[in-house]
Amino acid sequence: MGRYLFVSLPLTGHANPLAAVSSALLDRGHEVLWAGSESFLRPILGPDAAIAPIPLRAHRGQADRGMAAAKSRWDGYIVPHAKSTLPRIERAVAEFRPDVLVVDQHAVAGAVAAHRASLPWASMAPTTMELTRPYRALPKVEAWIHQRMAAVWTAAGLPGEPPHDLRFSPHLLVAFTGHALTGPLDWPGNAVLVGPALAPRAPDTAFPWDWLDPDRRHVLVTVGTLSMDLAQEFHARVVEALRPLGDRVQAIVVAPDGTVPDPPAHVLVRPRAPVLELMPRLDAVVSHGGLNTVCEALAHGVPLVVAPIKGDQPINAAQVAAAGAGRRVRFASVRPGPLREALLAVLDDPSYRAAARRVGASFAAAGGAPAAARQLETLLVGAAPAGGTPIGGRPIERMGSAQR
Amino acid sequence: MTAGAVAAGEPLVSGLVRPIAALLRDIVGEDDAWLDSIGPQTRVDGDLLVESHELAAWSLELRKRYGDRVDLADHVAGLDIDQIIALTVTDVAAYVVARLGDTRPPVAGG
Repeated sequence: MGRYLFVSLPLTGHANPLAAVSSALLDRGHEVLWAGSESFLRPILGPDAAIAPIPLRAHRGQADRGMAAAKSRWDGYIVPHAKSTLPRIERAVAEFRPDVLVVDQHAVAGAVAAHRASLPWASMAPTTMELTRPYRALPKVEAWIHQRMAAVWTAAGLPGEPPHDLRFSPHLLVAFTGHALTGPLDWPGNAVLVGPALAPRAPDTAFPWDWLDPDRRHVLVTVGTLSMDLAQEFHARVVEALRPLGDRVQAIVVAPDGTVPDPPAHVLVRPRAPVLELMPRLDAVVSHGGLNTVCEALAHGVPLVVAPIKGDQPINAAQVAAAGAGRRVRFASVRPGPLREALLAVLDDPSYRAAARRVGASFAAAGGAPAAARQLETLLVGAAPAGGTPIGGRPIERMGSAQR
Repeated sequence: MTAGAVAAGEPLVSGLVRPIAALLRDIVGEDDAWLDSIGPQTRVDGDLLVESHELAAWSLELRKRYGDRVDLADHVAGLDIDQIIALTVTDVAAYVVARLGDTRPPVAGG
């Protein structure tokens, strides 16, 4: 049996798929310790999870859009988070003595700790951000990101440059998406796409299930956590798009109380919604294109209208459109008319649902969290390669000493 | 001050802002109100939220309209992260004018 140390980020969309993988490892008899904020992780991991606590520290907020968001993601979040969490992660390595580190691609301190301890580690990709090399056409931006990672390396007291990209473990890369969605990409040779890692969540007993009218189509609108003004402005356009459709559509809009004043009777506004429980009853999802929401919808064969905002969302939106499983609209400026037209297209044209079902079937075949757990077992010393799954079973080399 | 801010005083450059923005409007599927909201210092990345695939399409249209010497995608590829964040529509117009040279005045339109 193996000992696994998980290093993630205190962001729900990042921690959720890794929590499903850690649960799968526990089911298979392994030991798991998480290094991270207990107040953030405890509700996600449950009362029995082992957590080496790292206090939450406020980092500068991230910009909302575009390249400014990319810059602040590194300068305002990834780099300071790596520097502040590294000592506690290394203490957890020393005390827990893990066999393998399981590291979010953006929690680069985990990669540094694994190198220093000469332990094998796996990169986990809960977003699509790094997987498509989005800045391949902007070499100076890619170089700038590499300088940021080198700064983390140097600040840790390690000599020279990082031996390779700290976002991509030389041992194993697990991504929570699938080829049917991404299309052909230039993956690293050790990449394994396991599809979404969905874990059951606490039931939402307060949701008014009897509000749903079986004779109408059902749409979920969920655009993640937005600043209040952005949310109000977007949801106002969503409500106008939905307003004339009350005879055939009911919509559940996930938005904080007060964001949507006086919604029409066929629009239900809830601060949260039981998304996974709702999915089997949905006909379409309107989303900002976060990978979790996109993959949850597609796993249930539900087509999407994607209005991407930042980060990997434009990439996911483009992939959904290219797969034929939905439409992409511009978040910032789409008018109610074109938004309604896109929504009616995915509701009325069966090709979108058929494509969503195709992607969903490929996700199911990819295996999800248990498949990720099997891949992680291949990193245990003396383990046999996981059977059947492609390109994961690269020979394991202990990292670290060879580089010094 | 950016190159575009200096070049904004050039009539050739300022006259080109709307036609090149009109090409972008057709690519991103926006309307006249969107076009009217664009001023000389409107930023391509932070204000217009132009995505990479839209930039590539814009680059293609600019080349069709203003000739093969105009390669916006190549120009942006040479910029660093702060220059990309700061890039305005006037900067793009100034780049187009610079690539055209003095012998081939830009064709107004859009």
